[in-house]
This record gives sequence, structure tokens and C-alpha cells, in this order.
Amino acid sequence: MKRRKLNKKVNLFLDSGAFSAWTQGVEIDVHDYIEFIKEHKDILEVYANLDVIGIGGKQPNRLTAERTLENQKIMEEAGLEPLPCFHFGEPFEFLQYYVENYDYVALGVAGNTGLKLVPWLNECFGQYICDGEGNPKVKVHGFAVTSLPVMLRYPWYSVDSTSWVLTSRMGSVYIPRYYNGKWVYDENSWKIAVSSRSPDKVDAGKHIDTLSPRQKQVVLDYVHNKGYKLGTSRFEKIAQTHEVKENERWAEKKPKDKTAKRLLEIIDEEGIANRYQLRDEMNIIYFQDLEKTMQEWPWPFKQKGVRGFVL
Amino acid sequence: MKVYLVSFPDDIPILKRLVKKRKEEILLSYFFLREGKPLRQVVDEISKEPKKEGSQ
Repeated sequence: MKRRKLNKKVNLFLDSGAFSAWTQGVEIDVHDYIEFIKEHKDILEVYANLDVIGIGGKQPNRLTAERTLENQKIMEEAGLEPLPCFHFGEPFEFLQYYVENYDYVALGVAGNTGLKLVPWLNECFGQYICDGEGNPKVKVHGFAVTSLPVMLRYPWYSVDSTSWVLTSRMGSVYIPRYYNGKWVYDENSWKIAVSSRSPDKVDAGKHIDTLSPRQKQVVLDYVHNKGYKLGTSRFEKIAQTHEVKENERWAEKKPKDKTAKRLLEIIDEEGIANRYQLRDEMNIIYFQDLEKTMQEWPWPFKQKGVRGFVL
Repeated sequence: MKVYLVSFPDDIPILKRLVKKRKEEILLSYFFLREGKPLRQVVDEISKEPKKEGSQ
């Protein structure tokens, strides 16, 4: 079959989605996955092994590591070069095998976050991935590394994150720290709620409206610097029969009582406070800037304490 | 460090937003690609020159 040449503007990383499949009790067939990759190989930059995360509802363990390695071999025998995957909870000898035999490996945190994750990653990088000088011997991809401190602490070659869009849909944007006239990305950035409908509006220090005047100005300077506006909205209780105009939207669910008034948002000026699409864009820009400011890979990993490590 | 931003393959507006902001590194999951639009069609659609996005 002759394929039409695509005007490709993306570098696609395909993962199996094994974690989502596992949480939904669905099993992915390795041969179907192989077929799919073969069909799309020309538009994939990277494709991961079909990793086995949990068997019988259990967390990753020796059995899942063995099954994951089996899939790696099946895919390789089919002529593919999948990215091998090692998960939290699996015996480290599997990571050692991958580091010795591949030049790019993936670590899966399997839903683990917080202080449990840091000692595990310290062991992965400190004992297996990095040499005596702390330099990584192989490229490492971090699956679902959503925590900025974790992203910044280890010499990842690549990571993936859903937090850009989740943060935006929760009404927030990432804001880098600001020191001595510079935006600083190598510290834990702020996640500031800006949505006009955010439930965080009442919590001090979480919403732009509850920041100190100085902090608010820093946030606004960043927003304007990136070419965006905060935007303004008004809210009115209005009859449910009201015909919603282009700059309006309902701000609450339809009341059961048909005669009760319903809250309407009237957008006077569009901005990140009232358009999630614009928050999406700002968070994309944030991650692009973060990438640019990260030191070039490879860089040495230094073991640091985990005290005060906020995830 | 490369950061691949994750998206659902059937959410074309989000994918188009990534392309519009010239974010090239995108991660999609096979699990969500088994049903729905073929991947080749998704890539083709999002790679078209973006039209100016409407307000909503």
C-alpha cells in the first residue's frame, strides 16, 4: 500500500498505555501492538515496550519484570527496537540488565509519588544508571514524571508529563520563580490558580486574587511577558431562559427548580482567567522554557538529602 | 531534557494547540489509539496549518 507523505510537525513517542490498561482491567495483546507499530513506524520517533505492570491486581514484582522482558524479546524478534521499561517494585537486576544491554531505557513509577519514590530513584540512578562520577551511562526516560522536583533532580534524557493539561483544566498555570530580574526554572515553580471560577479563590496564596500585591505583580508580569492577559469576567444570577451570548457561559449546573436563577459568567476581556485554551498555551510555553533552561544532558547526578523535598 | 507532553489522541483541539505553539514532542498511548481515529489521520490533521483558534 502506497502511503501519502505526511506533513509531519510532531515527534511522536508511543507508549503502550499499559498502566491505563492495568487500572481498567484490560490486557493488551503484544502481537496487536507489534502490528500497530509496524504500520506506523515511519511516524514514530520512539516506541516503548509493552510493559506488564500488574498481574492479578498486584503491584509490579519479579513476575511482571519477567513478563515485560518476554515482551521485549517478542518485539525484538519481530524486528522492532522498543524502549525497555523497568518499574518501581521490580528487582533491580532487571534494570542492571537493561543498562548493560541498551542505550536508552525507561523507568515507570507505576503510580508512586512522594517520598517513597525518591529513595527508589536514588537507587536507580545512584547504583545502576550512573557511573562513579554520577554521569548517566545510558539515556533514561521517566514515564509520567509530573513532579517538577523529580524532573529537576535526576539526569533524565526525557520525561513525559500530563500535568501541563491537568493543571490548566484545574484552572491553574505554572509560573517560574523570579529572582534578581530573572525567571528561574530550576526551582520548584508556582502553580497558581487563575480561573475566574476556581474553588481555590478563597485559599490564601493559591489563587492570583489571594496573593500579596507584590506576588500578584510578579505573576502578571510573567503572563504579560508571554503575550497573554489575565482577562476579566463578571457574574450575574439570571433567569434560566436567558439566551447565552458569545461572550457568556453558564457558571453553574442547571437548577432543578425551573424558576430559580442560574449563575452566568460574562466575559469582558478574554484571558487565562476565563479561557482554558489560553491556560493550555501558557503551560506549553512554560515546559518549552523549562526544557531550554535545563542543563544539557548528560549531567552528573549528585545524591542529595530528601529533607524538605516537596512533591 | 526533552519533555514529551501527553495528550489523548482523539483530542484534536489539544493536539493542534501543541503544534500551534511549536511543541513537537508529544506522547500518545497505544491503549487509547486502539479505537477511534487512525493515528496517521490524527497526525495529518494536526500537522495542517493552524487556523486562528476561536474564542470557544
